[in-house]
Order: sequence, then C-alpha cells, then structure tokens
Amino acid sequence: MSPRAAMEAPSTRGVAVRANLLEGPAERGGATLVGLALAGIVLMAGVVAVDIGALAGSRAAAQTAADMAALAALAPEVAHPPQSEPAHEQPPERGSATDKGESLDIFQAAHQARDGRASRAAEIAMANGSELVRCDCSAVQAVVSVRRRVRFVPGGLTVLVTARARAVLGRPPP
Amino acid sequence: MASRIRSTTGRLRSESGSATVELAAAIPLLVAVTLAMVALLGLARDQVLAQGAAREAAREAAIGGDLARASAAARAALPPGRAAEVAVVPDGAVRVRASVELPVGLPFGVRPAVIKATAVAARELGPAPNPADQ
Repeated sequence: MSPRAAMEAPSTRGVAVRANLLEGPAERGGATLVGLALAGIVLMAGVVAVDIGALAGSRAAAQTAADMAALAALAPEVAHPPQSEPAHEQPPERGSATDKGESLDIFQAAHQARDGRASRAAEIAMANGSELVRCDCSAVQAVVSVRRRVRFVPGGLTVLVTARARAVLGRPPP
Repeated sequence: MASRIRSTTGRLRSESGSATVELAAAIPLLVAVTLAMVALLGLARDQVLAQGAAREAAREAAIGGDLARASAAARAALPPGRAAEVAVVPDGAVRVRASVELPVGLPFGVRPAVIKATAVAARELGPAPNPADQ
C-alpha cells in the first residue's frame, strides 16, 4: 500500500480510539447517578416504614379506645356517681309534677339512659386519645365506632384511623 | 496527536472499575439504612405490643383486680422475658389508667428508646374475679 493510499484508507484503530473518546466522558458519573437513585429509593422506603409504624400504633390505640368505650357504655350507672351532691335535697311536694308522674316518662328515661351510655363511651374514648363517632348503645349491647388522627411524616398529611368494637352483656357462666 | 491519544486511553484505563468501587462503597450504606428500617418496624411492633399490654392491665384493673393481677395481665400479653414497667393508677373515681413502658434496643449504638402506651378503662362494680378461675 502506497503512503497516499494508507493515508486515505480508513483506520479501524482510529475508530476504536474515537469511540472510546466519545463513550468515556458520557459514562463518567453513571455510578453516582445509580447511587443517588438507590439513596432516594431507600429514603422513600424509610419514610414509608415510619408511616406504616405510626399507622399500626395508632390503629392499636384506636382499637383499645373502641374496646374500652364499648365496655364503659355497658357499665352499670352506679359506677359513675355524680361529681357533686346537692347541698340539701328537698322531697317532692305533694301534687308536684314528679308526684303526678309526668316528668318521668319511660321513653324519656330510656332516652336519658342511652345518652348516658353514649356520654360514658365518649369520655373513655377521649381519655384514650380517640373521638367517639357512633354509639349504638342499648341496655344489653353497645356497638361503638371511634376515630383517631394520624399525621404522616412528609408534609404532615393527616389520616383518620377508625376502629369499631361491640360489647354484649352475656349470661353468666353456670 | 499520538501522545494525546495515549493520555486519553491511560485515563480510561485508570477509571475502569470505578463504578464497581463506588457500588462497593454504597453497599454498607444500603445495609445500614436497611437495618435502620428494620429497627423502625421493630419499634412499631413494640408499640402495638405495649398498647395491648396496657389494655389488658386496664381491663384487669377495671374489673376489680389489684395491681399485682393487672401487672401480671400486662406481662402475659408481652413476649416471655420481655422487660417492661407497668403502672396502674386510679384516674378519678370511676376510671383506671394503665401505662406500660418498654425499653427497646436500637442498632449502631443508639441510646435505647422507651415505648410508652396508655389505656384508660371505666371501673366496673362487682366482685373481683377469683384467681382460681383462671
């Protein structure tokens, strides 16, 4: 091959060197990008783990509140004495409304009792850090729903966790 | 020209394997973060355990059991041998409050954390349960 032909012929070695020159700078930093992506994924997984933990703890606390509220709704009224006694209680006068039996309507008494059960359930739910949502409470059964707020780590997103419990007055064992 | 090509190929040769080295350096970090996540999940598990123990203690105290029975009920709700502080105190005239504290060890020499859980129950009238019944 003449020197002129050699200069004009394509050199495979030159192509390889040019390819290396092009690929080298483009691939630099690739491992750093992969590392950054991995770190991001791991960070996200950590945040999700924290949130799942908070959710699980709040769910357990809400279930405790629901259980205790349902049991409190069925607790006897005598377990909740009035906070303050009146200074002196006057006996009802003859011919008063109480004597006539007008104020102690049986339906009103039942309504008051139901309100009392719901009030006791709400107190216990609040003491356990939850809020009473619903109380279907009768003399022998209480179905209670409570909710509790959970704040997630990123952004302070708030989620409501709901729990439900049912208590029944059963027949005593023989 | 030839010297320039030689220097470029030499630099490429010296940078070959850098990705492997960087990945090898990142692996301990990944392992550490994974361990930290496992520790976080362990904390959540202990929180649930402590909540269950507090509920059992409050329930036992509410139905008339004394402090020893309430404490035993809380410990029965925990894994065997698990150290815990159980406290049951009256909360007003009609309620009892049970608190459970669980010390939790953390990796990397971090100071142990204490998980706290509390449960409040309404007292129920009636005779205390017979220990022989259980």
